[in-house]
Amino acid sequence: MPVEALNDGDPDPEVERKLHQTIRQVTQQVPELGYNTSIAAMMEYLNAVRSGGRQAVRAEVEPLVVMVAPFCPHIAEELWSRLGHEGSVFDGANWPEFDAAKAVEEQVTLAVQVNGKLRGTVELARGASEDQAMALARAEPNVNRHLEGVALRRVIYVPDRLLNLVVG
Amino acid sequence: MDDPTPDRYDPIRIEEQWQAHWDAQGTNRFTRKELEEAGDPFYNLMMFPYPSAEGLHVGNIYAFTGADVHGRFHRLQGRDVFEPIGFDAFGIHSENFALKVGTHPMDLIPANVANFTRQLRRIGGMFDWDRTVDTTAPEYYRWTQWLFLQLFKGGLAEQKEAPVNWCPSCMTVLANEQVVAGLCERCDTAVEQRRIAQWFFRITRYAQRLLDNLETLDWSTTTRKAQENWIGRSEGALLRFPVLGVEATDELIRSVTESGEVEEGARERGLLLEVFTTRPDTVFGATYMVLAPEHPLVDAITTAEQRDEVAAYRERVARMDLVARKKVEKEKTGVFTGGFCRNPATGEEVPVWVADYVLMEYGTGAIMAVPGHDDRDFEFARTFDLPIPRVVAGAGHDADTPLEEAYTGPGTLVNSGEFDDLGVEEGKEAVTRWLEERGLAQHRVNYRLHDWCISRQRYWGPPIPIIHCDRCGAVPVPEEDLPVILPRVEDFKPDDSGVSPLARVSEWYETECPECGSAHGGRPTSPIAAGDRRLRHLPGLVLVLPPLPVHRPGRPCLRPWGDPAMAPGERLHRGERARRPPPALFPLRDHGPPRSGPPGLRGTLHPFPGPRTHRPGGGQNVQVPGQCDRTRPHHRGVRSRHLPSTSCSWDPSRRAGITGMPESRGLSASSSASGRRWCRWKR
Repeated sequence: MPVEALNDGDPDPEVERKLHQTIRQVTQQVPELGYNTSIAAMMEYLNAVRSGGRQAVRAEVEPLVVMVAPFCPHIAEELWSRLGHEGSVFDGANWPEFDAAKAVEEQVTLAVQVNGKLRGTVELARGASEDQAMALARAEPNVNRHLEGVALRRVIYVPDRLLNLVVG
Repeated sequence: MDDPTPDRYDPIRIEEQWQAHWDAQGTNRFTRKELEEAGDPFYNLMMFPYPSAEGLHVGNIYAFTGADVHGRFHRLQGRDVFEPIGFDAFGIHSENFALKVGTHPMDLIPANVANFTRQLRRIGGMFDWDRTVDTTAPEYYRWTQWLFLQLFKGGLAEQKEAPVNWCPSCMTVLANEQVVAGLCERCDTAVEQRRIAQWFFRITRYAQRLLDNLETLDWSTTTRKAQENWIGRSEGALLRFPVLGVEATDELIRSVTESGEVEEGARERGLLLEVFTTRPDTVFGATYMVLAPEHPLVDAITTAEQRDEVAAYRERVARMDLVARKKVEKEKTGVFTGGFCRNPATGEEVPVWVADYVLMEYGTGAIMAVPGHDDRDFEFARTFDLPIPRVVAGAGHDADTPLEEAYTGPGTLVNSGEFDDLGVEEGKEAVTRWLEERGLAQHRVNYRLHDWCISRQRYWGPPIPIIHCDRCGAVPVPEEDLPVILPRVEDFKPDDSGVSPLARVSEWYETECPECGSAHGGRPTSPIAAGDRRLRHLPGLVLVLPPLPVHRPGRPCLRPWGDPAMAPGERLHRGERARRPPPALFPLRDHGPPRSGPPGLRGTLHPFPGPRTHRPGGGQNVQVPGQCDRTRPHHRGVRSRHLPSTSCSWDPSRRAGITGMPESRGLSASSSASGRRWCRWKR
């Protein structure tokens, strides 16, 4: 849909979290010349905005227009103007700020088993990687106690639910 | 902006429309006031293209786009981003292109610049088109020359004879980096060696400081390591080997001595050949000496029987390039001179050879060869069947273990007289001390870094502002008489003489000596006609930090603005923390409306002052005239980007047009009316 037709409603919480994560990433990586990862992050965000054919709201799109501006100044100017702004997007300090609180992932509780027996639980972000789950699990004293002196044979990881460590 | 087909992006229409908007609104332009009062300045400088072809190449766009993204990001974060552009239009690339298409560079370069400008505008970079740099503009290279004079006065620019890579097709000197596998990188012609009097910047005087202060730079390990290797520090000793059967004349003493001086009593001591080694501990294993083929001692030491062979060898080597000679793995060649030195440790006579693997410009141009413990010496000794004794024993070796290859590892000294059983490190110190007591050694630090050769025997560059006078030698052109204008020379082709085409223009070349001209109160002065009758060129980019390659290939070179009064190298030398490659300094051309104010540089030099780093007064070794010395409070958001439309757009035909320069300087390089102005630096 054309940008002019975007409505001013509140952003979807899930999209908003993704937005703040994206702003954080791009803001940190552009000055380090991490352009490819910045662009990848913005594409990922755009997918979230459009997922399931949903209707985007202005607050979800406008920050993206500014973030795109260093890379594609002409189209960003055009979109900025169609969003109803006077003059150039570069005329002011228009870079979006990210809100660390809003960028925080939803937490889930993960059960940690050693050889099928529950030895503890860890709190971590939804969708966290196996490495992150392993690191947290090892930091749990009760889990760690059962890992000492034995070889880790297999790791079964069900994201957001279960980490089962097979030792022997 | 109220297009009826909003979902379709039409790049040509939309890009042109926004570029026109930026121009009309002055989105990317800075006024002088804004430059001076910027609250949060960010100087986003990129390497200027050289217009050595009709248009930009994709690599230019790659680099400029990356840098532009960086600048635009900082601007969106509220910083005052100044992003100038310009043309590094002097130099061999531009000249060769002019030769290729058969057009004079003074006609060709403006046309190329116009096309580059059109293309750069089309990519939509955030360039301030009111402030551009053209290194071929006299008002720019005036500062190239000014910088040269500061270095000359500081003893950091000097003329000396040196072997150079010479491309007989391009008819020019090539840097080692421009020689690929013995061939010129541009035309694939076999490169030869010549000895030519050249201008050098004495960067070797800063070798240790450059090395020490690498520590303080926030650069990648790879880049730092490359710098370290390039500086190439090595610690060791200068050893003296008595030369047998050659009379010690002053000239020979100078040629075999690192300092190049004849000390008192030197003639009585006899000829002592000085060599630098990082392994003084192995001197007992030095079984022969090698001189670079160009070494002045070769003539004196070569015996009658060996003369022809040595002469033929030297001739053969002279046709090789320096890069090929430095290759470690190539086959070893050399010739025995018939002469001998005495090994100061063993007292034995050792033969003296000439070989191309020893280079004149490293150390003293001579080495002691220790075939047992140096790879190249080992190969050489194998090839010529010279003795290979062991003087270091590693784990599992003893004094008699035969050597199948050079042993360069740790161990203890063997076959080394009273030093046997000492470790290698202790041995270095002990042997040096022992020989030092007999006047035959000195502790030394050596560097691989060479002085930087800046002259080329070509036309298209800023003339070096030095007058060669028969009576006074090299005399700097007085600063107030800068710039020394490059004249239009129709026949600018280099020739095989190795002399600059400028030297063929006698009315330009012959001039008055500034020194004796004034000292003798108006008496006729001698023309410039020193020993070699040459005025030479500087390459164009002297004003950007030259000795250190500061950017990683494939990444845009971004240099935020720093203290405009401090030369880039100075930051390194002072050990200041520079979080990024150091800043550069450019006198920028101002194409805006003429302004009042004192004449001279006020209209042409626009350093962007950084309140955070600027220190008014004191502590500045390099004073830049016209520099802004105001420190302003924070002014974020104050600047207006809307300029009156009277500001001229950039016009390459205004090459010589500059504001605020006194008429009498005669800046029109090509005008025949002012033709005699550059003939005489002084009227």
